[in-house]
Amino acid sequence: MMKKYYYLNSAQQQMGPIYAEDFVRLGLDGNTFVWCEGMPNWTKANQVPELLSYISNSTSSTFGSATPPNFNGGAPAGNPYGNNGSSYKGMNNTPPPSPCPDNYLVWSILTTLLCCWPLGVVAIVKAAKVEKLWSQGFYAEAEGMSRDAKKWCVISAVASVVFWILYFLLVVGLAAMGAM
Amino acid sequence: MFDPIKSALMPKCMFKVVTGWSCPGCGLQRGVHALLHGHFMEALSYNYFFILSIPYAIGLCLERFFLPNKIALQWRRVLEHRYVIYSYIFIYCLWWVLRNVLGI
Repeated sequence: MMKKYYYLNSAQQQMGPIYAEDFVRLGLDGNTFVWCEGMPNWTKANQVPELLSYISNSTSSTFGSATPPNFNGGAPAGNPYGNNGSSYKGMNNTPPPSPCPDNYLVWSILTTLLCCWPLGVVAIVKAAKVEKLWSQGFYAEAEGMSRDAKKWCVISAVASVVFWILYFLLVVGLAAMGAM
Repeated sequence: MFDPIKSALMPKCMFKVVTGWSCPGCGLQRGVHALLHGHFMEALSYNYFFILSIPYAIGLCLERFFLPNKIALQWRRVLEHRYVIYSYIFIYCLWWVLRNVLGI
């Protein structure tokens, strides 16, 4: 199975996942911060041995640079790219510690649909907020929101199943009493 | 097969049993039951929100579990965009109110 990488674009937003060969297509250079599963933290692409053949050599002295000068990889804070998220970025401008957490949206939709139990709406609302928070730099809050979304999915699913079992027992019990 | 309308043993919606109102997802068992018997319009009539919710759920499942990564990402940008999700919640709640007010 091929490794999937996440990277930070010039506006320091998390992009990806992409495969190693996509680094060529996207013109990412060695200063781009990348992360893949198994890495403890974001790392510059030129520190990742398996990516070396795919990144453009702007940082290496042996080749001339073919990378546009404005592409500054893991960009510093306060860059001019006016992106919707950057105007109210979170306090920390450090790279996110890992890829955006799962929003569990598919589970929350399925629980609201299959379990006939509207508590799953809470999970959907939480799911909608995960990515926004992440893109604004509120990484810890996004992680918390992701956990909340998961928690509410589980709550609504478990509540449904418990209720079904109780209801089933009640019906069987009433039927048994009726038979006596 | 059991008919969910007649069989008391089929699982019931907790919200409906407790409050007497339909929840936005109510009608799924009856709908599936009707669909398995080939009655498409009847299936839909149990819950008109299925027009939206079932394709959306299928789309999300495809995107999360089945599609290759690159295509899944494009889908995700649309399907999991927060405005799409908020719209879904809005329609969900609207349907919740409407079906109980109008009795559909």
